[in-house]
Amino acid sequence: MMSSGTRKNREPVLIANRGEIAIRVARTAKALGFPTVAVYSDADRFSEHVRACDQAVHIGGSAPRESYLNVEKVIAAAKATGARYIHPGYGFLSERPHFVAACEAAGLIFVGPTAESMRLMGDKITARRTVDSLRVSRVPGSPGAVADAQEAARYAQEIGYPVLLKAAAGGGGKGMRRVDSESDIASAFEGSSREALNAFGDGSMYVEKLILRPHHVEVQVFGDGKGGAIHLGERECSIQRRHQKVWEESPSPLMEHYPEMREKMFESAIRVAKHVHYAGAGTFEFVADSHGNFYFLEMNTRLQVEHPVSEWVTGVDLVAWQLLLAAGEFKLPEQSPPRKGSAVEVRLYAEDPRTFLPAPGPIGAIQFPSGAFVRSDTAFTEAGEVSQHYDPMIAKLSVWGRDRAEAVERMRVALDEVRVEPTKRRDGTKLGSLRTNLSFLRRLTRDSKVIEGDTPTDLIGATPALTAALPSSEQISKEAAIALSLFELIQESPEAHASQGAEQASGSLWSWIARREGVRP
Amino acid sequence: MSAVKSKIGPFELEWLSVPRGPRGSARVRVISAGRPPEEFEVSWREDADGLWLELPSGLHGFDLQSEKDDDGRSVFLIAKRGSDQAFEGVRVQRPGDEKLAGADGGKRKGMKVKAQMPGKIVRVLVQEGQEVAKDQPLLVMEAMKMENEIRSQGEGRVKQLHVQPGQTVETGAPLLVLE
Repeated sequence: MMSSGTRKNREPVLIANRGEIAIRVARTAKALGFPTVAVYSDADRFSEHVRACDQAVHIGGSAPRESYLNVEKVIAAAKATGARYIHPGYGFLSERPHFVAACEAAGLIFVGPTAESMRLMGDKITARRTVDSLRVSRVPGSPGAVADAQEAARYAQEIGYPVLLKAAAGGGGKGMRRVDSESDIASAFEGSSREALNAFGDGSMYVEKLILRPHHVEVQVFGDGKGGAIHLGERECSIQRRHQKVWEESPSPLMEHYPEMREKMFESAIRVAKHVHYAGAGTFEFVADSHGNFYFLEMNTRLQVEHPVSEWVTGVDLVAWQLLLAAGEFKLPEQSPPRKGSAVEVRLYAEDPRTFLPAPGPIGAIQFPSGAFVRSDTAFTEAGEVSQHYDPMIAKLSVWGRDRAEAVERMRVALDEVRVEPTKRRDGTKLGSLRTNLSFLRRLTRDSKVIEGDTPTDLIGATPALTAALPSSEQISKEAAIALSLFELIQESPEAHASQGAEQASGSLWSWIARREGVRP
Repeated sequence: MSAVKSKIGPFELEWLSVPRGPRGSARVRVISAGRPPEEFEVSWREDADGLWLELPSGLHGFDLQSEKDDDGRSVFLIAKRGSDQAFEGVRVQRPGDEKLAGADGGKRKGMKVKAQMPGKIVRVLVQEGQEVAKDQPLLVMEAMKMENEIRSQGEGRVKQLHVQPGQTVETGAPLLVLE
């Protein structure tokens, strides 16, 4: 195991996750002197998160339920390696109270809230009861899960269309449907309930009023587990496609117009966090309209994907706070840390930039931005593959600026530095089905509404130019036309076949992928 | 050796010496409507993802990738390195290609709807012979744990149906043909 320098001897932390978040957690754990243990599935045998940790344990098949969602295997890996702590990252087991209970039963410390506060706040329906008891306003809707489409229709009638059908166990837009009229509710209920059952093992649904032109604003909190909690500012994550966030920032441009609303939102979040004796990092999600109203949506009882923007503006390493709290070495500051400047994060996905359908596949070459106040969180730094077994996120890029305008400009430049090329034959023929949303993200940084900070959640649908096709032959530049003509001609020349340079690069990649595939049982 | 010509969008390019090999230089004449013809030297260096070009206007890097259309011709995506400049669906026309290019707008054999990603067919919402409107849902596919509706890109009739519910498909697999 790697030496932890002069720091005190800490016990190992097992990171029950994969990809960029496993690497991000490992970095802080190592810096604090915690030895690190990775777990990996068949598909992840040579993934970068495995190399980011001091040791790594194979826990099963590529399907999440055979590995990253398998409580027994994760706990067995912790026992086998002498780990004392389990950091769940986000997704997978991070919000499963039964996993927290299993950790406790095995004598392991779960880095996060207790199973009890997770049950109170993590399940959307019990969370609604909890916030109702504390008089935090929330979106009108059914008090709990509805039995069937008929009951959903009754509530929808009562609160008025349009409504949202949402999975009680859901997140990330899975099992969620907008319904505009009674005639659509039966088929929408059936579809989203089945999607929820497949994704979360639980098909129960509830009904909620749809707020028009809403903004998604969330509050980062941190609790000490003893009834103390502070906030670390808010984030606005209104720019979403398929109900999933793609651009996140702090502070919220909307809240800059409503400072009183922001304070009330902070106060509500802290009140609830204290009430449930929340331990560690958590997020209260609100929907806010353009008239100064906000409604509680749900609480995420874990570290969020978009936590880097809060880290940029507060200077706090949230994972460090989580680990030190778990180790009994954390003292919650009496006041929220001051927030400075503005931060923006975008999510680079393997997906079609127009339809946003997932498009995973092998990566031939990849390059991320650097420079002052630029951060790339990724598990891809060389040729590899975005696996179809997992979330198709390739990277999170985040930047800081003294103000929002500076941050957006910095993001524009950072995104122009990014390159993600699929694996290709030497003549340019693409191998595999990788596409990315890079061109879409670049357009976001140049969109006038984004630059102004006027970004309700329907921005993408309301701005067709963001998802229009790229310019084609008719608009091509002279330089690009010369490059293409030349490229095609040199492929045809006899020297192309004799020369080995470029061919070797992609040849070795393919043998590398073949080796990878070959070791799969 | 005689000049090699190709046409890309508004530009006719006439290579006065044939470019060869992963690095080198050649002279090109560029003709586009409304501009006087230009002639200059181009140097290049090819790498794994595209090439670097040295032109009188300076040095430019491009990444190139291509896919084959239904007729087996290459369609390119070309992106200028370090910028947001990119062009997709670009075709190179060479002397002798005119017939093919002309046939583009002619009679259509029918539009293949292909799987955009690997996944499982959950439901098939149309039957062979059925008339469909633009944006009408055709199939429901599950991929990456999400159900995705595949909608019709235009009006037409379902000529052939290649899949059934429960079937697993790979990227590019034909799902149905519209005419």
